[in-house]
Amino acid sequence: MKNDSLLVSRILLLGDRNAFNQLVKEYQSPLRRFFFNLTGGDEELSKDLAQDTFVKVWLNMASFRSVSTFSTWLYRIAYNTFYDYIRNRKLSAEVDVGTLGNNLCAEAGKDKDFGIDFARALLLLRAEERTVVLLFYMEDKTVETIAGIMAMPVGTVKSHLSRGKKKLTEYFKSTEYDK
Amino acid sequence: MLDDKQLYDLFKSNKTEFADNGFSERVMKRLPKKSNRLPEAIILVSLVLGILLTIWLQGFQAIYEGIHNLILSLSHIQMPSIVLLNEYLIVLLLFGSIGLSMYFFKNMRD
Repeated sequence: MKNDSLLVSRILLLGDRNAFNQLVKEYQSPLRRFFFNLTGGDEELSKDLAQDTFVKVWLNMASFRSVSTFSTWLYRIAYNTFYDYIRNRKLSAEVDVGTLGNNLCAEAGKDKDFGIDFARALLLLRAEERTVVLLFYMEDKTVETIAGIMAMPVGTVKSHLSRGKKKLTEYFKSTEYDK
Repeated sequence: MLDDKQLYDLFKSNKTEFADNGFSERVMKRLPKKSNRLPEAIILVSLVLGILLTIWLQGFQAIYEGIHNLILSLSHIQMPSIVLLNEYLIVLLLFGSIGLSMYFFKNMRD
C-alpha cells in the first residue's frame, strides 16, 4: 500500500507513465479475476473491462482523493465500469447459466468439474451478492471497504454477504461439498 | 451451514491468477498521448534559472572550489574542511537538482 502511494504521487505530480505501468502490472490479475467471476467466466470480456477500467483510472487520476486507498478507488471504478457495460448493452446484471457452458476455466489443470460447480454457485447469487462475496472471500476486502467500493451502507453489504453465504451453503450442501 | 473458513478455503481454491502476457502493454498503448507540457517547462525554466542564480551569487570560483573539494573528499572518503562547507553544499544542491531534473525528463520520455 505504501508503494501504491508513492506510485500515485509520481503519476499525479509528474505524469509518470512508468509508475502507472507498475500499478497496472500489480493490479491486472486481481482486477481481471474480479471481472472474470462477475461475468460468469468470460475471459475476453473480463480483459476488455479491465482495460477500460485502467484507462478510466489514468484519465481520472486527478480526482483521486487519499480518503480511500488506491485499491478501493480502483475497485470502485471497476464496479462502475461493469454496470456501465451492462446498462449500455441493456443486459441483465445476472449472468445466465447458459453462458457458463461457453466459458472455460482460465487455468489449465484445475478440477474443471469443481471449477464449474463453483462458477455455477456464483451464478445463483444476485449481482450485488456475487460482488460482495467475491470482494469479501476472494479479494479479502473488509465490509467497510466493500461499502466504499459499492457506495452502499455497511448494513446493506452485510445483508448481501449473509444472503450470499446462505445461498452458497445451500447449493454446496446439495452437491455434498460440506461433507 | 458452511462456516467462514470453509468459504474462504473454497474461494481461495478457485482463485485464478492471470499472467500479464502483454496485457499491461496494451493498456499503456491505449492511454492518450501526453498533451500537457507545463510541468516539464516549469522544471526546465526553474533549473536554468537556479543554475544562473547560483553562478551569479556565488561566482565560478566558489563552484570550482566546491567541485574540487567534493572530488577530494570522495577520493579520500573523508568530510570536507568545515571552512569550505558552504561551497560543498552548493555544489551538492546543484548536482542534485540537475540529477533530479534528468531523472524527471527521462521518465517523461519513456
